[in-house]
Amino acid sequence: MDIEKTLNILSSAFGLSSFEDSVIEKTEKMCKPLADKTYFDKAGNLIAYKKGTEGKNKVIIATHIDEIGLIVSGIEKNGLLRFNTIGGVDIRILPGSEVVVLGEKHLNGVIGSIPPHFQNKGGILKPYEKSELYIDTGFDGKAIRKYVDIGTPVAFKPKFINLKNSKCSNKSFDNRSSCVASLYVLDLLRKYNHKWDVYSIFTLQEEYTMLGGRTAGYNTIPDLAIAMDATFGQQPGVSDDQGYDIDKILTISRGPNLHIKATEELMYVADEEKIPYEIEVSPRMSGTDAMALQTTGKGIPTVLISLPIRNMHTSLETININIIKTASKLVARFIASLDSNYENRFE
Amino acid sequence: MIIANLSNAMGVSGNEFEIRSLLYKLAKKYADSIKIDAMGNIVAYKKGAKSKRKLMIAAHMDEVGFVITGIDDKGFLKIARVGGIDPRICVDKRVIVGRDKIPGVITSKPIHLLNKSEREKIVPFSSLLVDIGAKDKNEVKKYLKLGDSIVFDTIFEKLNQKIMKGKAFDDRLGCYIVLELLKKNYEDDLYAVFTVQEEVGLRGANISAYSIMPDYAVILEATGAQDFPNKKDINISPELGKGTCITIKDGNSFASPELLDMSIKLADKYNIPYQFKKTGVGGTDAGVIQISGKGVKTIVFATPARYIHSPVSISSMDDVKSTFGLTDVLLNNIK
Repeated sequence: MDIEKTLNILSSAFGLSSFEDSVIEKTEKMCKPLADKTYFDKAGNLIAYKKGTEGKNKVIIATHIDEIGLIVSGIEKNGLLRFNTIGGVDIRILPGSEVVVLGEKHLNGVIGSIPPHFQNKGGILKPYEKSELYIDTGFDGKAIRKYVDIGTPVAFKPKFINLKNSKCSNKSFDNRSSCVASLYVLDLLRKYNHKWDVYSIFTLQEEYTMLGGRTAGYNTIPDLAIAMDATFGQQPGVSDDQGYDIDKILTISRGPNLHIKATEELMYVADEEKIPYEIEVSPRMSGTDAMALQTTGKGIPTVLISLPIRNMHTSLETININIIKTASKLVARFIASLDSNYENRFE
Repeated sequence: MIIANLSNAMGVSGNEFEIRSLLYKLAKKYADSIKIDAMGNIVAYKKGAKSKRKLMIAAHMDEVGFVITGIDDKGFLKIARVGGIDPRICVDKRVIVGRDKIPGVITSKPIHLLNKSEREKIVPFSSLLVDIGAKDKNEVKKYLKLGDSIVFDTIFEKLNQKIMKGKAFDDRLGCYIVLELLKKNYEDDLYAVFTVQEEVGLRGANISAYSIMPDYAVILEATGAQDFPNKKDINISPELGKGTCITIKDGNSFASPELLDMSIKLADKYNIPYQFKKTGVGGTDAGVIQISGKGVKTIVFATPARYIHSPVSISSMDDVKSTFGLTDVLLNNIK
């Protein structure tokens, strides 16, 4: 599997929270050759199932597939679109950005704002507010209504670019980079002997309701859940204490959302495989699918692996491709290490 | 498509290398002679049938952008703006760095780590750093030098049949119109000028007008459209798709009454859509051409563009045609 190509395709695909169809469809196609079967649960999560040699136990890999973005909230007479946000979006990143309005027909647009020389002085001294911004597709009021309604989702315009040293940038690396890792785990597991059945679950709506994470565990009732998500990379504004070196390190979380023993097992495998990691402490809610999975059904032992990215929740999330590979290897080795009486160790 | 290539080309004020060589190549085909002066302006000359007077048409080739002012230890580029750019439209934008066109991104701190007071403040230029993915300062030095320029990474596209989007419409639309005019033949001598450094103080036009000493000059500009929805207190003009913008007065010049009168009459006669620029803000090359040498009669025709001086502008091809059309009839009819 070509990791970079897969990341390019999946991060460029559209899938705002509750509008994931398009990216799900692309991901399912990629799962097919890697899994024994693919299917959807009632909530709409995509599941790729890969049978283990013994099949007594189940492990799920949960990666949320949805992305943040915007949603049309109004249409002005002259065709400019008002919007609201889906998920955590800093309004200050929007002015001058390019977007795709995902209506009947996909329309390219620009987030417009009133230029400073047409604003009064007070306005220039503070960031634009949402009410001062709009989406401009170049269509007039009549034409735009043919393609766009209130409620039409709007995504950042994708453009995958390569930076130096295996780094690349695009929208939606949170969390498509983990989705790619999950696919690559399935690919690696074709070569590794694994006893447990594996369910790669691509979960919906993590950025808003965490619907996918809450339902994925209940439908599968696994013995163990591995959640993968994005964490902060070191960058301007994010100190070495707040984030991680995106070239070198993935993180394994410790905290109340995560199962202590399972996490220790994971760290043991990482040490054995000489995979560099740092412990990321999540003293409260981890803000990931892991926190939903842990309290699903009778409770699921859950671990969390995170990939550091820069500029999280922007249109230019940045990652080092090598980290995706490393994370996949860790998860695949961890799954291969699980034996039949494993669950006893969690009691 | 020429208009797309002009928009995509790199040419921050004072460092107009790519756009200049593109324009030179394109203008050479239609000019009797062409030269690049000491500052880098291109002057293309086309002899007229009667050759009585000198008509100058000018558009500026430079665009707003950034320049590298420093490199931090971790390999992030510190930048300063070149020309008037609002820091609020710079966060989270893709850029192209230096002559080798290295891709980069302007970093932004994740929303999760921002406290309330940070979110209520504008991100200043000092915090807008460019990430090219380098490991450290030494690696950056292998590719780039302080003073190298940076532009927004925006690709020209048609949004629909009439409307287009791209960077640097101010003033590559003007450059496009000057090129189109250079293809035509006039009775008077024509000097088609592509000026440099308009965005940093109208410096190029100054010397080009002085060396030509034209009788009349028409300046082809792009001007900020203001057809935004919500502010009742601002004057809605210019509007996209409503024609070329005849500038009676801008930040540093008045139109020559003689040219203004002619232009309005000609536009009416030939049914060329036009509107007036009502704001009076923003200086243009007209301001310095007008006062060069013994003085020059000038007028500015501007194509409306939404969001000028930002990563991406939007304009109507219909307005480009109106600006071209009005300039063309004026050049044919100056009495």
